[in-house]
Amino acid sequence: MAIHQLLSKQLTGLNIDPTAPPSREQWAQLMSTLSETYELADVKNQDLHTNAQNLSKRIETKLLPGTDNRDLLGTVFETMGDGLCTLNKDGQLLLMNPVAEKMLGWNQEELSGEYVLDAIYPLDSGPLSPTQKLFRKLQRHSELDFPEAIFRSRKGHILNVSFSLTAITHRGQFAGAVLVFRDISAALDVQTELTHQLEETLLLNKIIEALTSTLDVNVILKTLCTELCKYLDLPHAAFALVEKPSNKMKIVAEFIADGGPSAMGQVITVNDTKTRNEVFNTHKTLYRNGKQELAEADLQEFDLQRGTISLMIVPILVRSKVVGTLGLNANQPRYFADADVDLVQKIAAAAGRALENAVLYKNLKRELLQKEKAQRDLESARDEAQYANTFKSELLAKVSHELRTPLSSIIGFTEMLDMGVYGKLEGDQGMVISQILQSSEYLITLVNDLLDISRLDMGKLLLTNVSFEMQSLIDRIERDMRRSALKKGLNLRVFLDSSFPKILKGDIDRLNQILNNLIENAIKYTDSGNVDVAIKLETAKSWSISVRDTGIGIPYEVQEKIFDHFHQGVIQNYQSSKNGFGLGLAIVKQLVELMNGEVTVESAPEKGSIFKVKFPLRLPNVTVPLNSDIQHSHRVTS
Amino acid sequence: MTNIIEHNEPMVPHAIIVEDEETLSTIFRKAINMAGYSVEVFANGQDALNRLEDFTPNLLLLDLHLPLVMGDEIIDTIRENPAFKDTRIILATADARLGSHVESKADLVLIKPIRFSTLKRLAARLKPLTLS
Repeated sequence: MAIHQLLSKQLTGLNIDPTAPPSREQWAQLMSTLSETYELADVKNQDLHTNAQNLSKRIETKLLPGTDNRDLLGTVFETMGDGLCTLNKDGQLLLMNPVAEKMLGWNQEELSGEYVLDAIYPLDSGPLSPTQKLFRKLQRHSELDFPEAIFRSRKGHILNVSFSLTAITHRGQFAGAVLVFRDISAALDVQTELTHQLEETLLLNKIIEALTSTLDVNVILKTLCTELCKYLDLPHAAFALVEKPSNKMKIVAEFIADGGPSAMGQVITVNDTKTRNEVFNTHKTLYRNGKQELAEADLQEFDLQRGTISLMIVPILVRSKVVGTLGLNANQPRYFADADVDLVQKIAAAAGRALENAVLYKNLKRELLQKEKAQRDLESARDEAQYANTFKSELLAKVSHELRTPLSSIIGFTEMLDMGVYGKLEGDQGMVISQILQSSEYLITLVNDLLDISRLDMGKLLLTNVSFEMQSLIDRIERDMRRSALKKGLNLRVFLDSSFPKILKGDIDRLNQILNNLIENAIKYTDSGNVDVAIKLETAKSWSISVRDTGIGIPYEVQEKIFDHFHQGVIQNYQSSKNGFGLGLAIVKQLVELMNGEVTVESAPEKGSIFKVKFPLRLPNVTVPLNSDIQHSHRVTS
Repeated sequence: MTNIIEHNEPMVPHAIIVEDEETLSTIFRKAINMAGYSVEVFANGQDALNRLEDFTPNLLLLDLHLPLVMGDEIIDTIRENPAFKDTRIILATADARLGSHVESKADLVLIKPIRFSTLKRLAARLKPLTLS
């Protein structure tokens, strides 16, 4: 049972004639009786109390959805916060309480006998008046509830109310009605505020989504414009960004709701407009509302074209510098609430961060691209170098191989001439032929060196690993080198430790080549004295050969480069151009390294040089008696 | 190009040279001839193999790289046949110091360029005792 019905019962119980207006005294008596009745009922009658609580809940549900479940009945009686009117059977006002007077702006005397519902309830009710319409309904239903309705006050103010009409019956006859109404603007305000907050949250969500889904700053800015306009119900929004290095801004993103002129790409000179200049100087948001606040000097050409009347300009800050503005405008007077300004500023700040991120990202991307390019350049340079190197080595191998056949013929025929196969030689012919032979032999050495270098470079030179006698290596060295040493009047001496193993494993041909190269060099750069070759054990696992001369020595600054290919150009004073490409030492170094050894040089100018090669010691597993003649003279190079 | 030359004495040892480079075969022929052999020269491996089917030389001088049939193939064929057990083989190769499995099957491996005097001396040393 609703409170209205209870009230009507009480009114009936008090036996007040609803057709006659009660005096103020009678009204006061009525209210006090009501209050007492309910208080009494509350204390003494449990059923009634329960009933009242239920009622209170129902009323609360109807009148004020969402508020806490306090005892509304108590409140009603304590404060009489609701408007209360009693109406006769035709709907004319009998009584109204002070709350009703205050809310509606009339006092009881002024409205007494008037059709109060017609005055306060602007209902489009067709041919019937609001009172007539509501009362016909009331006679059928005895109670009408309007949770959300609008009343108009005397001054024309809109009142958001919840109201109910309850029929009063007197002796079974419809005698009138009680109108109870309550101002629900506060509740609506809360609801409006909630809706507002929800919309703002949704807007911010959309913006966050835009910010995180793309790094294209223009897309982000365009989204911000669009969402802001939708949210604030504005026709235009645009972002303008400062163009370096001038004080001009360019419009980079905009939203236009009404098909007005676009300003995309237009340039704004900051100093030309008062408003923008102010924003740049103060770093603060500026807004102007209506013609009285907005002078033409404040506006850009496109503002005027659009008929802008209200304007808000928000600075976009990146690291405390204005990098652009967010402009919102309307062609109607537009009031911006503090909350709106606050929101727009938040969005401008988000735009600032997006811009900063975009710049950072751009820089990062540029750096990455540069790095990638450098990497690619490096790789392609490396590939080219590798290709060139392989090509060079292959060419060398091919050329030197091809050179051998004609050289073989030259040497062979020359030798035949020399030996008198084609008849006896006369005069200087013998000398000339021996010159040809000497030069040819030198050519062969060069070709061999080139072939070796190219094979070493390509990793195609393979070593043999067989047992050999150290003495046979020494024999070869002496056979190959003694003559050229003697020619220069030098002593070639070979020293072998008595404790040195008789048999080693390795590539005797390549060892011979290494030693020949070192000794040849020593002889070449020594004019008097000795060339000493010493072979000895270094440790239990390594052995060495050193070649010491008493020659011109090697300048300190070139000692490092002397093992490079073609180093001769660098050390012209050291190497005479008479013999050697400068390949000998390069071959030595590469061969030694291929044997897991190392080569070092110690030299002092004018005192001589010591070249030392060190190898891991490799001994045969089983000692095999060797016949060096068969084993090592097997391969013959002439 | 079976061509027996300077085969004057009845007990003269016989040599076969297989070399596709004509200038070189001229030099080899002269050197081996001066060492006391009668000499036949073939310019490709196939001709040499054909000749070896019905003839057993005392000395075979082979280039490793030959047209049609390579030198190592000829060596393998000969070394599998007991009829050639007394045939001495000299392998001539331009690949200086390049190891090859056939080297062990040859009596001598000579690296080009081959000195005329060296070849003459070595060929003379390889002559069969009964014939020299």
